[in-house]
Amino acid sequence: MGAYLVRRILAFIPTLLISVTLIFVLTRLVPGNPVWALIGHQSVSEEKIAEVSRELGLDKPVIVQYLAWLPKALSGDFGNSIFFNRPVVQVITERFPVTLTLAGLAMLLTLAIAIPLGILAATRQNTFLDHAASVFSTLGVSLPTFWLGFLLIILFAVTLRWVPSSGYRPLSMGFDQWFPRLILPVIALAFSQIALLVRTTRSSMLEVLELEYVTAARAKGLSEGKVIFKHALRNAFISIMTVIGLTFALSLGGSVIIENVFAIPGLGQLITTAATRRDYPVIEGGMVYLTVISLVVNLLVDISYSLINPRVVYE
Amino acid sequence: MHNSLKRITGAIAVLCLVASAGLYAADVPQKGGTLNVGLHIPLPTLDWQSTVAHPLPHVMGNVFEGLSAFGKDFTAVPELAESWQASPDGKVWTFKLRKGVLFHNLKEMTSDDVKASVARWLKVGPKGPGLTTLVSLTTPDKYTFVMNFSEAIGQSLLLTLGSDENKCVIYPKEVCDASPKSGVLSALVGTGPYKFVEYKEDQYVKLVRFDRYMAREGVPDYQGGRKVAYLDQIVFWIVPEASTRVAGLQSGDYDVITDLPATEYDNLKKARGVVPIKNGPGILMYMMFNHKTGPTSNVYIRKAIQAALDIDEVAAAAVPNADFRALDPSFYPPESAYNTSVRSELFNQANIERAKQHLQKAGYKNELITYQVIATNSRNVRIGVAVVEQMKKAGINAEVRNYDLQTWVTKRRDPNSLMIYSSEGYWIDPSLYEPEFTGTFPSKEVAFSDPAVDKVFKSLAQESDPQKRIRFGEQLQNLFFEKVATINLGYTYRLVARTDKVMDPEGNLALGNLTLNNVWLKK
Repeated sequence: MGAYLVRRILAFIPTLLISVTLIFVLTRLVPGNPVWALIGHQSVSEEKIAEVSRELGLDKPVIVQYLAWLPKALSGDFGNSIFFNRPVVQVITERFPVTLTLAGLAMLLTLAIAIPLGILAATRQNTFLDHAASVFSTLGVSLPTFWLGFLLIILFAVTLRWVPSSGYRPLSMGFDQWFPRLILPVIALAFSQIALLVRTTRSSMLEVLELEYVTAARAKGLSEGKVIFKHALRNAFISIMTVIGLTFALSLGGSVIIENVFAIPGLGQLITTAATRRDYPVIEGGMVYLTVISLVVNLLVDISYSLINPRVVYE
Repeated sequence: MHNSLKRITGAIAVLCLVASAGLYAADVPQKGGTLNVGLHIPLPTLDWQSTVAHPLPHVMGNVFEGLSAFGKDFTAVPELAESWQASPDGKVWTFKLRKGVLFHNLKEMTSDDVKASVARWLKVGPKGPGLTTLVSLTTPDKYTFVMNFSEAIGQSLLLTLGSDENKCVIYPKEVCDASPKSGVLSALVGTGPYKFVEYKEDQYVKLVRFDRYMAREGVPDYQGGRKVAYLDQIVFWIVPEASTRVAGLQSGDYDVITDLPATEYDNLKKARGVVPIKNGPGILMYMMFNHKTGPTSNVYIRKAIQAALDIDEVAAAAVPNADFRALDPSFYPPESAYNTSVRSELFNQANIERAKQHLQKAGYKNELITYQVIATNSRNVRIGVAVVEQMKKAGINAEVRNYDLQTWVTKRRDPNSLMIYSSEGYWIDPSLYEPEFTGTFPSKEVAFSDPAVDKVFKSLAQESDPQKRIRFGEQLQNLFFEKVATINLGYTYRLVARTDKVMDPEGNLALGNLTLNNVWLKK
């Protein structure tokens, strides 16, 4: 396992190197100039654009910019954001807790609802409960997130006035400021995740419940609870874990739609705004962050396989 | 019985007094409260001197002030200047400054600060280089500031210095000296009624009342006149999604929201406790061409398009709510003193036959004419689609091309890509058109240039007499129509909204960018 981990972590290096190069090149190939967003693009002379581009070092050839940028980027220094005038790492570090909170709470809600519901649907196949779970998961997968978000806002914030409509306050401003603003975005984000995970849990469980060892366990007279939770679920969990890992990795990248609908200053909003105004350092730093998150979460999921199922051995 | 009647009458009188006092109190401006504003767009920088970016005036217009500003009629009015005077030859402009005006750091504003600020704006400001004939800046005394020009300059100077678009705002000299680069200020210190407290990028900007603000004497006049800061605090929350802003207003999270689609107007009108406001002046939706290369460099092709367009239909596609659009042939908004009907026969012709005749004169051979639109701007897309359909009816092989904003800007400058694009803005004074129509915008390779137009701009720059300026405005409009420099696609109005606890006795929320002086909150 130790050697496997070292190999996987070493494999990160070429992956990251290729990723950062691709990110840099693609970012610069896309037409645009951050100066237009900074000083404006309407009735601004070309000379002024060129002057500010020079100030920002954007007038140099892309290869020169890349060679100056690469060593710094590999050491985690992506330079300063053109619009925030602060190190990109600092900006990402500030936004990360917001996204982590949203993704973490949504995942907790997802796990709390989806796995029991998926198990119930599988163990009570073709009953009302199973059909209800199917309808729910179909709805969850097909409802557009932004639409659900607005629906929640209109019902709970505008009509009932139970919670604020949008915005984000850090926990440092008090629990009563922080938590109510997260309720609706967490529900909206979790809704499609729950739907996906209910489906995965149900189908994985159904597959496992038909295997001979489950029949054998039942024949041995084990209680149904033990059969399901100790024997069936543990084996079904490999595919469930894959979906959990992928979903969580995606939410850690920031849910652009949820963050926009609820005006939450997370990473998704940061990276999309940066892309819109061509804040190259933030785009590059943000994309490298997403790559690292994806690599790390995938590694953790792989490790979890061997913990869930001892037959999975990494050599 | 008599005594009881007296008592009842007395009680009624007291009740009436209390009620009327209550009503009176409700109408009397009160200090206090936090105004939460749902702002539609993030701020690229807080340094107003270095950008023409749209959101700056909404926020920093409450913090910073300039020598001149706009009054309710959108003419230049003094702000930090007590008065101004041009020499008879128009080459020397002397500004007498208001005495006792304090910056937010409690330092008194003097001519040294003004000189340093104007010098910085000339260097970093996108509009600064427009003052090409400026020779020197001098400060004869603590409260006098002089601008010397090599050629006569007229009212345009005040408009350029005071325009919301890249206003020449006054910072303390120390801030100017310590902030040589665009977009980066060593401190955010102004002289406005509200002072800057905190900015969380892409989240919020917080301002508080500047208690030592020295308001001008006289009556309020939008950005000029007597400005009173009633609010304890203003927080601008950045909420890019329009529906979220609307929901936030209805749920009481925001008190004022900006820039809504006009289609929300009817919903807001029905909503309880919410007041939708039509905001002017009218914004011109206009079409621009590649004047240097390709089919649109041929004036007859442009005339064909001008003849073909049914502006009624284009404007309706652009702005479905009829209350928020206006068909007006002038290139100056209906609210402008320069609004004119000169050459209005060339506006909204919807004449396919005439268009075909122009195409024939142009020797048009079915070349493809592309119309580039911003994919994320639904109004821009709708205009593009409507115009292209009408061009096709006239026999023009036209096509819409969708781009994201940055790519759109790139293509707009490229002579090999650009043929037609549309945009919007308001030019309350004819001289404000100068940057767009003197051969440099959006790039030298595609820009419109014409000696007759240059001559009118020069005359406008030098003239201060209102009547003569109006004549020059008419000449400019005549040339715009004749040369098809641009095509007027109608006017649209912005929609903002407030809750009914926000009191705006001066009607500032119906004018231009958010100007929150004299706005107060009912308790």
